[in-house]
Amino acid sequence: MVTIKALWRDGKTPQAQAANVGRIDDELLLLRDGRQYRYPLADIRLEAGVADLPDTLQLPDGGTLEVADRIAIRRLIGGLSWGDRSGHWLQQSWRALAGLALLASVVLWLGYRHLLPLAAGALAPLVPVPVEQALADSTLQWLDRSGATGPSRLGEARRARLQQQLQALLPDSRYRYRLLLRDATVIGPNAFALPGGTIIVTDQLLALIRRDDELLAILAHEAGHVEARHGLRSALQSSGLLLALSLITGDASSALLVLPVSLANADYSRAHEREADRFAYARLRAHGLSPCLLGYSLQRIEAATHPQATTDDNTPGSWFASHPDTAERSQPDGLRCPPRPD
Amino acid sequence: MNQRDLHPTPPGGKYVLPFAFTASTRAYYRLWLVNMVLTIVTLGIYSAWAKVHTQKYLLGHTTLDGGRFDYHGKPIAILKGRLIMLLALAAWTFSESLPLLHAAIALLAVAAAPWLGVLALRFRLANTSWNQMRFHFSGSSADSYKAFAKSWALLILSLGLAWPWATQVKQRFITGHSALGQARLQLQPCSGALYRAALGTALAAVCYLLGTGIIGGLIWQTATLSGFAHGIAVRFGEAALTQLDIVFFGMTSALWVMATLGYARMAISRVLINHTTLQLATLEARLVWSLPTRQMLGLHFSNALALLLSLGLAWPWIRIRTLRLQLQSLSLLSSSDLSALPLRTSLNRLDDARGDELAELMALDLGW
Repeated sequence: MVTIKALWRDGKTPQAQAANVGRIDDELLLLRDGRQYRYPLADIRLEAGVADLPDTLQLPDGGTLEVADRIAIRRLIGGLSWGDRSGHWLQQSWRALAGLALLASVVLWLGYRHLLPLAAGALAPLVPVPVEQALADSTLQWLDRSGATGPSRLGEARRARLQQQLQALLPDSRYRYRLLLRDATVIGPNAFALPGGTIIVTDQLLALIRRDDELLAILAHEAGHVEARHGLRSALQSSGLLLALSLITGDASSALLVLPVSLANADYSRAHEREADRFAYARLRAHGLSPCLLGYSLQRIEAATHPQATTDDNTPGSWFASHPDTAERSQPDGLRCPPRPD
Repeated sequence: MNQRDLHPTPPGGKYVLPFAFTASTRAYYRLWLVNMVLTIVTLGIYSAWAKVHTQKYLLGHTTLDGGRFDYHGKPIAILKGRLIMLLALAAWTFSESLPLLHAAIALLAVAAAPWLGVLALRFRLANTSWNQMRFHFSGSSADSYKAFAKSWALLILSLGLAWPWATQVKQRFITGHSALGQARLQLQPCSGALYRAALGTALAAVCYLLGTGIIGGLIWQTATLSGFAHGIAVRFGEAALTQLDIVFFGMTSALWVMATLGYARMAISRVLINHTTLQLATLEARLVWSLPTRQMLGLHFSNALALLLSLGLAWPWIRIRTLRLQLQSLSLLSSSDLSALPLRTSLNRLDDARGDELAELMALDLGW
């Protein structure tokens, strides 16, 4: 019988004793102090040594055997568990690790591009509309209290008209749209959507875009965010991403994840903007309006906020930007628009 | 490994039993990579195995008086814990829009913390061994609630000023109920030393602020002078540059916070460890951690810098060098050698990782 050298400990005291192990049928044979001990193999647990550490056998009486010759003991006992085996295989072969790293990057890409947005898209509709509205109300209160927005000083008549036109643009929406005007010098000409059908338009935007059809295009884009529940989805996506990244990096500190998470969030945000743009184009078309209207109003905003910016049409968007660039958004579905009427 | 010679009787009747750390950066890097890749491919399921492997590797390369430590946690138990943790996190995220439910969950988490702490310690200690002798945690939930309530009350009533005292109350409960064999661990009174550690941390925070400020400022200045910043502004627009600035500022501040917290943790554990004793009948031992503050500062600052410059890839190297330095300067000063520490119970197996995982999630400061 082949025997393997081992160190035996009783599990109650720290001393180790040299011993030999062998196997007879379904029993492990332990030879120490010139005596023989037998244990059924089924009661013995093999703890594989990680990297260069020895294997350990846990005996049913609380004793342990430390075995440096790992190949021999694994052959004797009859193999490792699935998890241990895969880890050890990768620990041995660089080629296997490289191959799996490639597979991992594919999984990572698929998860990031499709799985996470899909999961967020499936979960977001579970939140009922009243909850969304409550969420919007608390955000609104917070905005007003923070001083970023103040009461509007512009026309109520135009607001009511636009709200009506917007609701008419979206005949089968589950939301009742509520258009709010706010004075916001810090934010400038802008419009943003809150969950549940609330859209805030700044006085600055109202003053900048005099034509109702162009403003309606902006509102249709914001309604696109509301209909697709982008607010909830981004919250879900970014927390899912953070969770996945901290699971993957294991014990690494989460402060390291600031950069990748902010890059990914900006990327997800651009995807949402494109989705809202497509929604706006479709709604405008369905009502006999030109999809070019959105591009026109965006150009006006850009001209007002960045008067010195070059009108070079092919500057690539920044990785950190939350919106795609205006040149891209001025071509609905690749269409070339006629020049903006002034 | 353990064919130790009998220790010669030392002068003054005290044995100095050293800790040692023999892990290699290369092997740990590989382990980290394998763990990461397999965790991704299995959509996170492997992370439980990854944890076991990492613990086994790091503890297995830690020795006291030539005897190895080991970790025996079962991956399935850890996986179950992680699943529950995931559900708790999902409930937390989903209730964000419902303030009442959100508050209820937070309250529940605080109320459960002492109980979870006991579960976590029981699992962790029962699955840690030295020379294949298991550690053991005997604290009850009731005692835990008493200790935590006292600690929190001290904190709140003193407006945080009694923090070292509160820490001592909590740590005495944790250490005092930990045992190796029949040898009980004890924490000796140390609130004075804890106050000094808190002062040192404040000082370190200022030093780190200057350091990160100077380095961050240098990088920023270089980017501005070399025309890099201008190039970005021209190519991607002013907004992109502003965003880049915000991310850079955020990362630098995060590094500062991390380094300061790291220092605080180390300064506090230095005090706690140096006041930890091990007692069994005639055996009296005490832990001695002699890491000079200057070395500690240098270690943390170079770690933070390496993390920043490598974008996080230096993490395994940092982990190993930090552990090596910490363990090299740790030893056990004992009245006799440890050859006859009998084990308290024959089997302390506990395969429930839930406490451990939930405690990690809530960053419960459990020490040890």
